[in-house]
Amino acid sequence: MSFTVSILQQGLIYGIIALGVYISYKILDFPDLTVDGSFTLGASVAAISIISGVDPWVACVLALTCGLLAGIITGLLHVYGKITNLLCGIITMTALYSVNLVIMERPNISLAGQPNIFRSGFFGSDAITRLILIAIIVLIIKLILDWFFRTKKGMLIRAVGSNPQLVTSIGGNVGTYKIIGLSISNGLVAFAGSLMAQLQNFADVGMSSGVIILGLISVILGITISKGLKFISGSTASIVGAVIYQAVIGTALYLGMPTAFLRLTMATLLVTILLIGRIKREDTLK
Amino acid sequence: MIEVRKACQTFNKNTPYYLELFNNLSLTINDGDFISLIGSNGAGKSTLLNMLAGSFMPDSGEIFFDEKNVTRQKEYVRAKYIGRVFQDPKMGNCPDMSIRENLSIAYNKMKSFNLTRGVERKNEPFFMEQLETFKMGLEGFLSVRAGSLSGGQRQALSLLMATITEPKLLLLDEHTAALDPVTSKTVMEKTKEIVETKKITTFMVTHNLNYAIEYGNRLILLHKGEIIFDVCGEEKKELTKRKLLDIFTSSVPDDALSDIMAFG
Repeated sequence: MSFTVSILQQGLIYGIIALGVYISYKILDFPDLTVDGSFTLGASVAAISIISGVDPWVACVLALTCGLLAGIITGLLHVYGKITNLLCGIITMTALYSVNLVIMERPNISLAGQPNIFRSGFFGSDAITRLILIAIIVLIIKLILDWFFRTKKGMLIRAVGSNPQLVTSIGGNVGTYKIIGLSISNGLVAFAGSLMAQLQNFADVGMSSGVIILGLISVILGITISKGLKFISGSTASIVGAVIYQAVIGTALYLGMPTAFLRLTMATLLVTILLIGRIKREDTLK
Repeated sequence: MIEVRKACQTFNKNTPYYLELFNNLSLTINDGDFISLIGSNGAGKSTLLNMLAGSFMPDSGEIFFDEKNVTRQKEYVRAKYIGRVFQDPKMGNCPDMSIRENLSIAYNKMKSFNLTRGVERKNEPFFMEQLETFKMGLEGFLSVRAGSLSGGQRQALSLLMATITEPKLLLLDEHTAALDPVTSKTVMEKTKEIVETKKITTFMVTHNLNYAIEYGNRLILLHKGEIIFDVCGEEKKELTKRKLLDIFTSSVPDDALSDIMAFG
């Protein structure tokens, strides 16, 4: 029971990462590696805020804001610096590693005994209540995103990924919309980082390594399995993908897979999903 | 009125491939003109069209829209009063979005891109009505993804999207070239109908001499960056393919014959 709950807790937080990666990778068609730094950025900002006595909810908002800024930097590098998308992400991600160390003033911060959103009074602090709180947060984010991408502005961001020329033709500045999209994406991932730090009671400078692949696996997995199911939106699929991912990896670790194999498993999983997706597509073409 | 004043454009500066395409090119497009622009490959048709659209700035010279200098205006700013249809049917709409969403995006062009609903149900009857006039049965498929339409249907959608807000200038960049002859004719007829009913000033690049003669009130022949022939009104109406070929061969003696064969 507690195993399932912990899988769901982490899986749903990863779901927020997946939503962020869904925006950059799927909607903007921009493989953004910045998230590999912005997850820790969120965690470290939240951690340092909380131990400085800031309210945990405010700490989450601060983390979100820093993530938004990180995304803007990557966007500015790409749009005005004309640097290729992959490089922009690598540059910001690299810089963020130092930024995170400077923010935390040490490689990790323990939040044991500190207040956090799961212990802030009107919620109980047992595992189930924590899970419910996380689920509510994820649901709210999903609903906001679904709404946003149906507004006039949001629809243009969707169009930027699939046909930038069209956006220009109808009088939209492609660069601006890319920056907005990247900003939201990284804001979400940083927010997820702030939640993870509070759930695990620590922030570590290395905690976000592998976040991009985790996000990619979740998005691609979610979309591959929900293909043909019209009632599942891309955002829901990404969250579901993240939970399934966490269930698979969590179970494997639980059954005794050495942690050294974790990354190898992730890579294999991603390749498998991509290949399955390809075979599925070829089937439909026949 | 749209004016190109003394535009100069060169390519590949400081390389052996240096090319001076436009040398003080001037052109006035009157309101309500439907211009067919023809010319052999490398004549500068697309360059002229892109210059009007604002895809790039000329090396020197100016472009005026109703006495307003727009030379330095960014493409997306100028796009507010320009409708554009490309040769590739994929360029005019989003494959992942439904016909309804595509039309909504185009219809929102003159509004600010704010946080109100992108797809407004109240516009649906209008969209259906517009789609019906194409007689392609698209009105029944508002929820279908644009990516799953045929080339002709997608181009029809692109044409509707480009003209739904009644732009000041419509740029058509060989917009029927990628379609089969029958569909091409349908789209062309539809273009004519829209341009006439909405009175949109139109600038059409085409490789099809028949279309150039049949459609529009004005025909411009461009050769190596120069306007060598410009007719309108009655004179244009009396133009035949034979006459046009004669004009072409007499004004461009040397290599013209091979060129004209290519687009006859």
